[in-house]
Amino acid sequence: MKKTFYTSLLTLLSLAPLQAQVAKVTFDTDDYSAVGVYDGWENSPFRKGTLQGNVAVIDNPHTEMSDILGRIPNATEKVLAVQRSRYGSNLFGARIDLTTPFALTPEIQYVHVLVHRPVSGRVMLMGLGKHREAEWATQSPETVQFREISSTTVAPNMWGDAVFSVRGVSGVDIYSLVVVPECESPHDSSEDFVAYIDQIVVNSSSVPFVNYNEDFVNDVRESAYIAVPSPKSTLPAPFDVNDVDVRLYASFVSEGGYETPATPTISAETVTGGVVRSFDGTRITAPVAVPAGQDVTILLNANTGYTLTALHLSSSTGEEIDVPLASINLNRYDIPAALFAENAQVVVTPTFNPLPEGEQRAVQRWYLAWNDEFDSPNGAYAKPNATHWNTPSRGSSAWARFITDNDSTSFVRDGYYHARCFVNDDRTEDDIAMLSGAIYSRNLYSFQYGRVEARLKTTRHTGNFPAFWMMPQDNSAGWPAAGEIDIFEQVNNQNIAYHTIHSNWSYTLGNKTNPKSSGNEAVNMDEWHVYALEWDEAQLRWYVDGQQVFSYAKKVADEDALSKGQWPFDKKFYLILNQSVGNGSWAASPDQSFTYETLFDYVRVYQIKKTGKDNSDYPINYPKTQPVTHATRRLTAVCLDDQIVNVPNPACLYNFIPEPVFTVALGQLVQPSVTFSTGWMHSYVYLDLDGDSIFTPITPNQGVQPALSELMSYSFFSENSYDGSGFNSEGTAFTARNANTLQLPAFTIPATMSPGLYRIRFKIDWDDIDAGGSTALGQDIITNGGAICDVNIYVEDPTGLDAVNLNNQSRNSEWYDLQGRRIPAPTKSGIYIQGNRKVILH
Amino acid sequence: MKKLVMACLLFALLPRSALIAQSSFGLVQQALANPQNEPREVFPVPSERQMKWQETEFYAFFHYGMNTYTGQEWGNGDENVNLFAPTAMPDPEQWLRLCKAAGMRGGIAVAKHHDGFCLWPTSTTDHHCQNATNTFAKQTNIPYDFARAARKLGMKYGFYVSPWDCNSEYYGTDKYVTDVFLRQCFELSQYGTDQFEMWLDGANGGSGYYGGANTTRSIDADCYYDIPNLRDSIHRVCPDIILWGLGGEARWCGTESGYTNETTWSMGAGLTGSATEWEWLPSECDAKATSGGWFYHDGETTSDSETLFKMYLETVGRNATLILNVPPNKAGRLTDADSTQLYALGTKLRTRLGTDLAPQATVHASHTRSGGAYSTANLTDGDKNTYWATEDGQHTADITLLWDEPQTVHYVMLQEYIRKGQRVKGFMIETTEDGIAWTQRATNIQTTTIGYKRIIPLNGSTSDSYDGGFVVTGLRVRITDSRACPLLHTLSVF
Repeated sequence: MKKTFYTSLLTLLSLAPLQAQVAKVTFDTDDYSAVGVYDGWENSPFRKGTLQGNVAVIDNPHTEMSDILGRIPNATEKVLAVQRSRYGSNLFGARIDLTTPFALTPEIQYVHVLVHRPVSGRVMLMGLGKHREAEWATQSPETVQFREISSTTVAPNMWGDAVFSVRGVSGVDIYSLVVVPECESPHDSSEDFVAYIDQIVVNSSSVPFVNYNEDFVNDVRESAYIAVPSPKSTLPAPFDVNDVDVRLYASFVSEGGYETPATPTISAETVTGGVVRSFDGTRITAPVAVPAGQDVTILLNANTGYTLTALHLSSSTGEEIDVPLASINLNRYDIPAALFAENAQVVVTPTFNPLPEGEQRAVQRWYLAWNDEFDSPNGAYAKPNATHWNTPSRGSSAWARFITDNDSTSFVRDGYYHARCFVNDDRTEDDIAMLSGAIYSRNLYSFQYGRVEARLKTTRHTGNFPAFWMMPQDNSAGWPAAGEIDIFEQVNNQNIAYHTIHSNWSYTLGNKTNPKSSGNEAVNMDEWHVYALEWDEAQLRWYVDGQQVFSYAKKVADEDALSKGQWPFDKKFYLILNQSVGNGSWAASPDQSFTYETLFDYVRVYQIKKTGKDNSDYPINYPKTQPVTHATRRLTAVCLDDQIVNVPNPACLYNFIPEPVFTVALGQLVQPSVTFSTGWMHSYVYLDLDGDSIFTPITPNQGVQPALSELMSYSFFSENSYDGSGFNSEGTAFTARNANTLQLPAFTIPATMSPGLYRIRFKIDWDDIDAGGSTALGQDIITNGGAICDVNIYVEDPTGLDAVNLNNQSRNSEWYDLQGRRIPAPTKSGIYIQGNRKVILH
Repeated sequence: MKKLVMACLLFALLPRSALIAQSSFGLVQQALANPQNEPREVFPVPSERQMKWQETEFYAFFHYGMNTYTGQEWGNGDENVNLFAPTAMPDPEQWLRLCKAAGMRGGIAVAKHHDGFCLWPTSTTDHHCQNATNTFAKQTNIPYDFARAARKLGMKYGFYVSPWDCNSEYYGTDKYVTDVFLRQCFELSQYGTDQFEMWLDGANGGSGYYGGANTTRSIDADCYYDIPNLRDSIHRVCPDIILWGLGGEARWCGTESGYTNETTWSMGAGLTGSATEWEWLPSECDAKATSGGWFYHDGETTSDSETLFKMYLETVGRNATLILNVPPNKAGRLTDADSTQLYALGTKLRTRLGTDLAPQATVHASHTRSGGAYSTANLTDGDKNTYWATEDGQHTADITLLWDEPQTVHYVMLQEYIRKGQRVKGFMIETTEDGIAWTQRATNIQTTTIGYKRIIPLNGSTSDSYDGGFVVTGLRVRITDSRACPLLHTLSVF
């Protein structure tokens, strides 16, 4: 045994590069290898064999519709059921052995598990696994690599997504997951219950798949959202104006006393009462009333088919303002209270006009990705939301040297987060001069690019040193090379706000003016202000109350600067809010008789979401640059009827043709086919019917495809573990060697779709309907030499212009534009029609 | 290891191919035979190795190394090995002998501090004591001598090895972890497989020498040292080692001043912990017996034994362990002042907490569990494996001790049977002179948690606990609240 350990240490020299893998267990197919129970307690009767676990994969007993969601939260066929035994410890749960282990990474990965059980609260997840290298071969694959409690809570008796953030050193694979179905009990449970488990997914998103707060979340995230049906060729009339729902997002704050604000904060307000909506046949107007005397942020969102054409503000005191569209930041408009007379009620009237179909494009919009309004019952103390914030560790640097987490330095009350710093007058408990408050979102929330803002007010005083800033979640490069973004800092009794970045380039190498790495301007610190940062791939921009005050740009053309760390900002950063005091190096040493305090009203992170027909983000299970590793297998062309598209780069697993090469009509029966170098594989065709930028196949039954499945056609799928038998999408049964076919059945473009631009995917794979490519052990799409080719496809209404195209069959040699007009042979690049085929000229 | 494999095999896993298609699922009635009416565990519970560690209670910390000769607390990593120049042969047996006399049951010796200087001939770096020119340094091998002395004296032993290494040029890279740090842990484990604790200090990263780079390096402490697999590997060699700190098997109590809170749960974090946390993470207090620092500094003084006794009451007496630092000097020995105070502390512990009056008393409990051996006799039988209990659902009880002759009493010591979880949330101690009127004692002390061990000075003072005492004929422990039926294995009165 000693020798084993010694050997493993001696020979464990370098770690192999990480192969990112995605695990997914649905229990509907062969995506797990075994199930059982597990108990982390060494004296468990389930370990000693005195008791046997009760666990089984069964028909999903809970496929009911959720009234809250308005949909079925989990409609899959099979789920895992486990008896949570009262004889197990608090670490007793269901163990699922994975068919394909997934690798831990130092980056956070999220494990999602759908859970349905009669108790509420959080869930625990254990990962069992071992090092990948042969040197660790004697290590048990059941070595506990992590124990995590979910960041989400799951309500009783409904499907909920328990989300776990997991990390670990490179080189460790997780072979089994243990789902402990309850984490909130008094630890002495006396009754057994059944927990159902399903849909285990490992990905990079912390957003739960099922969220019963969706309505609320939508209030927050889809503010001022005007929900209208997706436009067809003509708008339906009469239009039911009650279907239009206008919401705005605002934080209404009254200026009260310093300690006890007179009125509470109201936020995430849904304005529905008294809203007038109208539809005049061509446009929708949706006025909402804005309460008096308050700053309001409004997000002007509308369905893809509409565009904002006007924004009018009308106050009860007679002011009428037409907001120039250029002053609207994508879809965001801030209405400062100062714009209107005191106590004026303001009515906001956005006007949206429908877009012609051909002009419908993916658009970028701000949405509220994350926020903390620091709401608490008026007058009541609360700790900051533990799913958003941690307390940073006390450290040696000036800002962190007094950090203490107690009810007096760091708390939420009256709708504000209070961070304070004051003298420590009881040094028996904690031998330190002062106590200060701070919170950060490290390991809980971090983001890359977007707009982050906080409304805050600090107290000017000698030694004051508050900050609202960000640090990288992955700080492995160390400070300052990993980067630091200071959104707001202030010192002493100055009326000046500072905005700074730190990097290897600016700090270590001293390039503080190339470009300028810090800016400041006069701000009256005795008043509330909104400090914001907008951050994208190329630039950081700082704002105070909506006015840009500073910026820092990436030196995109200066490879030398970039190689020296001029822009360490293409990664996730987390938020820090703190009240610290100086040490004389910048801010002065503190006045120990003074209580320093900074109030934070809210922190909000907006990010840009593309909506509509998005051409970039259709995921696959591997990097899109993954080369084909198989010696001979190549996909060279994909076809719909006689429309042929050559695959540009058959040596790459993934290809995408952005031009709308294929044209089909609603209700048309189309025949797909592929040109692949060999047989012995299967082909699959997907169409993104709902335009949500992901292909969502639903498991077929004997070749019959459920409605809404975006798997349109396939040559073979076993529907169970592969034994040579299965079906194609016409329901034709195959046995044994017949299964080795690439022949795709025809399929019909649904007549119920909206016309427009869509994405179609052709995939060559082995017995797997996963649109991202099989990740099955030994049968993954890469090993098998499969391929994925995405093509944009134009779905036309046959009653519209496209009839012209169809009628032009006889004029095979003639050229037409997309509007069906005959043109001379084109000389410019573009898409044309010749002989009833789309032709792309480059 | 064998036990673990056995245990794992016994989990009946159902391979997917063996699963019979099943459409529905029902609860299966499960029952465990319980002829002795044994109370169920209240989770979480300690592991076997955590129990052994907890029973060590009071042990020593020996900070000795390069800093002893440079006057530093945290070296920079660039110190010339020749600066390590003992004026005599370092004598770990002397360290442990004095600490045993003070009532300690073990010790942890620094084998490598943050400066990276190793006190044993290691294959991982040349930066070790035997490469110094000093005659004594060339013969120094602290792990070897320390382990040998501990076995000779019947003391438990273990080592402090700093994950952070300011000397290593590889610090911050994977190579440091695999070729330096993990290998050093392994080399230390070779000095004895019966070690009880390995101290992995949380300080990591910062400025240092780093093989001449003279830079600041930080690491991702959550992942960098590969703790889950280090723990697995060490446990395979040394099954009883508790990896303190980064290892996640015991927690820092939150102070370095020799006290923890009166309310201390063995779950959770910080001074108090939490009754609702999900993992057993018992509290350890590291404290200094001298005025200078963790390492020896010229001119420092040693705390008097009364102060050290107060530390004992406020740590071991509050459900934590105490690791008391006594730094060897430049001769590699504890000082005469250390010796004086350590012997005096041992005397105080034997005098004040050495003669248990409870076995002479008649003990009665208001509630006692039926069906097995749970009587109050278990409280005074000196057997840690027998305990008194109440019935399920009975969360309060009074235990009354009556003596035939008046007794002078100063302290009450309570111990829960924590193998089944820490339970008691509230209790009171009362005494009587006449057997009729009862007076609550130590009312200024939060009598909340008990845990592995709780010692209550009846006069309510930890700094002046041994006064004239109370002359009583009876003493009553009233358990007022508990997470489940209370289980006590020992009740002592001194």
